[in-house]
Amino acid sequence: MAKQQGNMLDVRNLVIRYELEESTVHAVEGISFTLGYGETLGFVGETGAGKTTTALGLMRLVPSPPGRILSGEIIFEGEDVMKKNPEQMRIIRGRKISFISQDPMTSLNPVMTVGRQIGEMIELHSQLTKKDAVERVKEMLSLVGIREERMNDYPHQFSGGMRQRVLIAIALACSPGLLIADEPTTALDVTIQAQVLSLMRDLKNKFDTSMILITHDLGVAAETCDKVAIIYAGRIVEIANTRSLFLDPRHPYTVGVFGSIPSMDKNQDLLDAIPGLMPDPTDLPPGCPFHPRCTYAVANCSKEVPELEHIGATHGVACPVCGLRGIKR
Amino acid sequence: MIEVKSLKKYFKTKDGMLHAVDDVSFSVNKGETLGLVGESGCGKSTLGRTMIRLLDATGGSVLFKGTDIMTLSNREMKQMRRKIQIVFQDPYSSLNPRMSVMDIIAEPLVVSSVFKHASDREAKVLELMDTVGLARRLARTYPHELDGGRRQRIGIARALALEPEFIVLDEPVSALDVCIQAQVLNLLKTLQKEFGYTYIFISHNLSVVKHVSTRIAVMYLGKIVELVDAGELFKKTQHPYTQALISAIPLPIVDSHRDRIILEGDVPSPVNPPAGCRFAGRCRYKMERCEAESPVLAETPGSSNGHSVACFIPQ
Repeated sequence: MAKQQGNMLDVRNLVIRYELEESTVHAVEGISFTLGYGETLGFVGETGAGKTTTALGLMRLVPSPPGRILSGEIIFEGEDVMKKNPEQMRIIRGRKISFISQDPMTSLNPVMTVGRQIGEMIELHSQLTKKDAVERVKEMLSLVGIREERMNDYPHQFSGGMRQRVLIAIALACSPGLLIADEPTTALDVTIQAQVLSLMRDLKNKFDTSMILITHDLGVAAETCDKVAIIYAGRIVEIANTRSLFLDPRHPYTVGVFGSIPSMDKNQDLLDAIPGLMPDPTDLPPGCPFHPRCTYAVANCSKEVPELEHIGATHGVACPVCGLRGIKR
Repeated sequence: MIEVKSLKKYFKTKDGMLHAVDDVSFSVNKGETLGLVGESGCGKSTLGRTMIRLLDATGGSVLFKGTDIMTLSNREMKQMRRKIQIVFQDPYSSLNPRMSVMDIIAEPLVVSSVFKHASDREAKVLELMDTVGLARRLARTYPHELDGGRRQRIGIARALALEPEFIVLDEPVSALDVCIQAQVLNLLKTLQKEFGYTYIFISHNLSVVKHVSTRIAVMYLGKIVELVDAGELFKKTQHPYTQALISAIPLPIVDSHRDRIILEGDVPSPVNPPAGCRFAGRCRYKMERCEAESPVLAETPGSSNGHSVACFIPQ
């Protein structure tokens, strides 16, 4: 299959808030990005940065109430997802966009065999006969490295890594164009994580799927993604192809995250930690959300929200101070 | 300072004996950090808890400055606990939600009746809060009002309250985001420099362990498979499991061109573990002998710094 040109997904100025009785959580504050066919984009950020809410927003699965998509366009394969009715959304979810959640322990139904759970997806979204659907289940299981005899087993009979493989099989059962994986390996041990990531890479290439990978681990992003968006307090502060982001990070927050990771080759005494904490999303500071913790902040940083500016063909930075000149490290 | 000899901890399960910690021996020198690394279920937390008698050992001894703490009476042990403290993994469940920050940090001081007057005790708590970088105004708040990083600082302040000599840090940063993790790691290192603490640092994260440790012990299924200086572990890795573990870490760099060893299968069950080397089932260098005989952790010939490995064919 020839690779399609152009963007599969074009998200413009997405704003999502959770409106609670006493306060409003500003979860996503104007996120824009594009995703090409067959491309893998990483969302990297700390807990509460808005990564998962953005992903749920793309499928219009933000729990409402209290969540609400205030504005934004989500153009998926040329059509605005925001304009679809519930019936059309159900067809998109699962068949065209599918989702792998973080926790393999709680996202499978404990009283249903794994074969049934994969089959459910196939029956909902395809015209296959029951017999053909069973064949497809077996095929999916062997693709993710599980013996087909195990289709009649229940989730508790599988280890964490095997359960995550089952979730991958469910997500890919209908060959979706876009796979959104929310911290798919965070709950796994490092040797099992290596197995699952390599499986995901192989299958992604085999099915020519585009992927959004949510992770807090820059190591996972470096290995898996074509481009990476660094998310802080509901905004993309830096986005670039993986090479330029790792070789030439520009935003002070991105640089701070790199400084916080213990190095495997250097011996350091203390880490270059960023002082302070991420702001409370119900009470964001004016201007750049990072300015209270930023050592490069100037007076204007507390007044204006910086826009993502392109400093190269594929590299955008939301920092008027360091974006162009970079940070000497 | 500490000598662990043939320590064993088995749990009875309905399917048989679970060998959580199986005949483990090592020593910890004064002022150093011994890193204990391994995947979930390898017994590292059980080892940390058993060696300070939070769990009763099935066998073996632990000498703390020459005294076997396994044989102490409850009263003697209570005295000993002032010198030995622990910081738990989960800063969400290891703090009593109904106690204020002040009361949580003061509790060890109350239990050991260190101060006669409450005012002296409170002064000590405030001093401890300064030490770990908690603002004094938080003394009257409750854990649920605070983020994970601050909660972990409470756990650390509580462990420091009795001025211990030895602290077991059980995954102290695993629940924290990388930026907060960096702040807490820096705090632990600074405290060690200032007060000369001896640490056991338990973690599943090899890069974190490498950053904080003087020496590192790698555990697999209840046994230590390799033990060596932190730097050497990465340069001259000898055990096939350690090699696989190191190669599996996703590094935050591009163009790394590493050879990745992807282990097949899962860690076998620690209930009635197989005879022979416990890693044999997943090892790419396995020989017949590995399935029959269990390799003992021993210093490799010619090593100058006590590089020990439990393998018949160290790489």
